[in-house]
Amino acid sequence: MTRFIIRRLFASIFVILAIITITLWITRLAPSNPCLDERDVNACACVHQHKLDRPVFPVYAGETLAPLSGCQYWEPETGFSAGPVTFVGPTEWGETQYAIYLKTLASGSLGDSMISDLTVLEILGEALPYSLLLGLQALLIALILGVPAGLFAGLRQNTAADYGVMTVAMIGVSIPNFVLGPLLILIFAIHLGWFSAVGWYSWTDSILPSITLGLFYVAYVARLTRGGVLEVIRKDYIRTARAKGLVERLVVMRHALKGALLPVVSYLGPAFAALLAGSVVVEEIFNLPGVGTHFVRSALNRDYNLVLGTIILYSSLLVFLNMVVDILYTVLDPRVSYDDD
Amino acid sequence: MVAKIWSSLLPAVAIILMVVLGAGCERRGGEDFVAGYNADMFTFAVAADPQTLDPGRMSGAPEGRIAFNIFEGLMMPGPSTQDLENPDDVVVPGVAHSFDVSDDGRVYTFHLREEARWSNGDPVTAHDFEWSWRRVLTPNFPGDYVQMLWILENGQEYSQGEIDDWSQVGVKVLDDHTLEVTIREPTPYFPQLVAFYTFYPVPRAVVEEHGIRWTRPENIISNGAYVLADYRPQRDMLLEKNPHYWDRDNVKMERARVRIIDDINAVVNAYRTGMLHWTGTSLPVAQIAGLLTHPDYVREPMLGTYYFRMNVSDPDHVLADNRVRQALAMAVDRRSLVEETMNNLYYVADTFVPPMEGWESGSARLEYNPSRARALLAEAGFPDGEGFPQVEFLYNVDENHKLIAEAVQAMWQRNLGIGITLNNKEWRTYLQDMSTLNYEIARAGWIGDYNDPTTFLDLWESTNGNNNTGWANEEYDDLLAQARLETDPETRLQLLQRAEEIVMREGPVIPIFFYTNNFLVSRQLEGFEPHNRDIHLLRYLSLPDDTE
Repeated sequence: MTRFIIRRLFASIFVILAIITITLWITRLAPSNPCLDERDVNACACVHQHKLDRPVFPVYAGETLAPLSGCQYWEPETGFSAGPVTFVGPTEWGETQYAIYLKTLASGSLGDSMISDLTVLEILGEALPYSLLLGLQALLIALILGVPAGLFAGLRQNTAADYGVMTVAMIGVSIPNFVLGPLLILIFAIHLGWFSAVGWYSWTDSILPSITLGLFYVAYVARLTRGGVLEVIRKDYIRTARAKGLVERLVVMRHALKGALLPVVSYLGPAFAALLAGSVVVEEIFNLPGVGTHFVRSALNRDYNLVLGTIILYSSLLVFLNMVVDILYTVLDPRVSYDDD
Repeated sequence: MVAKIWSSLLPAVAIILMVVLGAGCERRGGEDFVAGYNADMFTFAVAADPQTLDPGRMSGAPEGRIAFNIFEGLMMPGPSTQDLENPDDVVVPGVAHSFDVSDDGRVYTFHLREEARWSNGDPVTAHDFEWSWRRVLTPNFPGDYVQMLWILENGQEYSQGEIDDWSQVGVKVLDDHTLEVTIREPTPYFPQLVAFYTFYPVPRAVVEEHGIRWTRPENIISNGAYVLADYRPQRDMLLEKNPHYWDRDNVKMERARVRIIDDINAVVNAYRTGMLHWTGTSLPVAQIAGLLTHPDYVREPMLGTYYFRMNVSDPDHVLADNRVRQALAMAVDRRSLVEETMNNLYYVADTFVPPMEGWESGSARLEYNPSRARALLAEAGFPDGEGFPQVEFLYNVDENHKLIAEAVQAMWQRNLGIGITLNNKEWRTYLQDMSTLNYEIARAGWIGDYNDPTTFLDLWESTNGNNNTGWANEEYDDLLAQARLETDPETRLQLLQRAEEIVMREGPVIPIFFYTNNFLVSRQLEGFEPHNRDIHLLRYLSLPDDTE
């Protein structure tokens, strides 16, 4: 198992490095840049400050930052051009934006935001607790409502009750959060005045967003639980339990539930990761100070370092959670083993 | 069984919902609405995290709103820009209690208050201003508005590294409380410039000690009526009264909270739920119709113009022909755009420079004249639009811009017989297209930096970095240059009027409307006066039921 974890960690580094490389390339590929403003502001100073006049990679198509051609551009002194493509000499590879960024990462920093005075670590450090708490609460709501609903429906398979609960669950899956969120705001914040419509200033402010985010997963968890119950309830050991005269409540709670929850548990890891990434929309709707808000904003602002920072954060979380799930599989199901020996 | 319960519950749920919504609607329009009933102190919103709180480096509205409250320049924006006895009253004394101007209008001597203090109790001196201005003029200083300080004699040369002797720049400290400033040319609005944040002093010791981190709440020292006590990104900022501020006895509000809410619809929601006393930013046009009767609704004229710009950089392009440009301009029914498309929110613009105290536009007014437009287009070789190439209209993604673009597309089709294609782009891409002249016709907006027509007219000077049309006119440049050297206000005004007439007659611009600022502000708030650049300093305001 230890060997498996070490191997996975090692592979994760390469996955994340690949993600960083591709993201950095995409940010630079997007039109425009962080130094432009509606007014003729001092863009050249900004270009110099963030070293945007350097080639992105050692191999680059020799085009400059379109509107800022008036700035004095850094030119590699070594290397050569082949048609429209320019190669930077190895002695100056360290001067490329890619190398500069990797060096920043190696020093344990995520760089400075190119739009604000804060560092990316500071921005994400402030934002992450909100997103984590939001994701956890949504997950909790999904479990608290979803598991009983699924159990209830599964035990009454193909009855009106089953259809009723599953219909509600289907509706939950079908209402997108950008519809549900504003609806909840309208009813519970604006008309009833029970909650704040905007922002996250105290814990109560997180209730509506958590519901908005969690409701989709309530339905999903309910369906998974129902499926699990249906599979388990026909097993021999359940029949045995019933045959020996156990009360139905005990049969369900003590024997059926354990087996029925297996699919739900294995779903938790990916679900939490999806909740974190999915909170982008909910954070926007409720104007929450979470990572998702920065994810959107940084892309619109072309804040290259913040885009990279949020991507690194999200992808690390995903990679890590997936690993945890894979490890959990071996715990839940002894048949699964990752050691080749 | 359960299904039955559900089906019997559904109508009940529906009824509850209807009652709740109905009750809510009733309450919303109520006159008893008290803004900010859920706020523990005076609270307003800004639309984004400030990119920086360093006044020497900033640009933009959220940044300015904070800077005007926590820093103080030699002069400061006054409470109002309307009904002034004297147009110069748009600014009031700040750190300087008075100033003298030399006869040639180029030497200003500012007399600083001896009681002006930083928030740590240290005196604010003329040296602070000199050091701060020198910092901004340091070559390659990453400040957005460095060019503002090029007005100082040799400021541009120093900033661009052409001279490195600071003593040649027109800033001289005569003593701790007297600053002599020599400017490049007589500039009647110079007192307004020193009231702008780029000219504000920064605390040398703190800046030198903490570098870029000097504006963090734990480090910052400022000299305005308020200090930054707390800042949490994407959430809020807390401003507290500066105990050492020279005019502290007249600062009525002890504290204020600034909420950072970037979605304008969320701002309205926050206001409706009592989280704000002032929306701080202009309301979404789609929502204004529903808020017109709200007792807190306010509309103020803004010093800003919404216009179309035309790219004339390619001499072979149809837009390089002034007759075509004039035809396009005359075929836009701006009245209908404002009254119908924009719900009457703005004021029709028939000149480029918006009305302001001390300025009257000249006689060249843009008029809606479809028949004259058709004649001009025919003269240019396109009778009834025949043979007119497909021209692209660029706007940045926004509901209002879209409505206007579509309306104008229809007007040009109807009045001139020409078809244009609409193209919308995301903001940053739009900016890039604008500055690389990668467009044909585009919407644009301009908000003035100070109350003087030159903040608009300078735009069309051939060397101006905001021109972005390729338009150059020697006579125009000449008139502006003359106006710069003119010391007689009357003659200067006439020169500027003639310049504006040239823009109206043959410029690359179609003015559409003058902006207004539409917002909600608590009726209980006192001291809130109209300001055409939306500058409202907290020190002029008070909230009577403030429990402090």
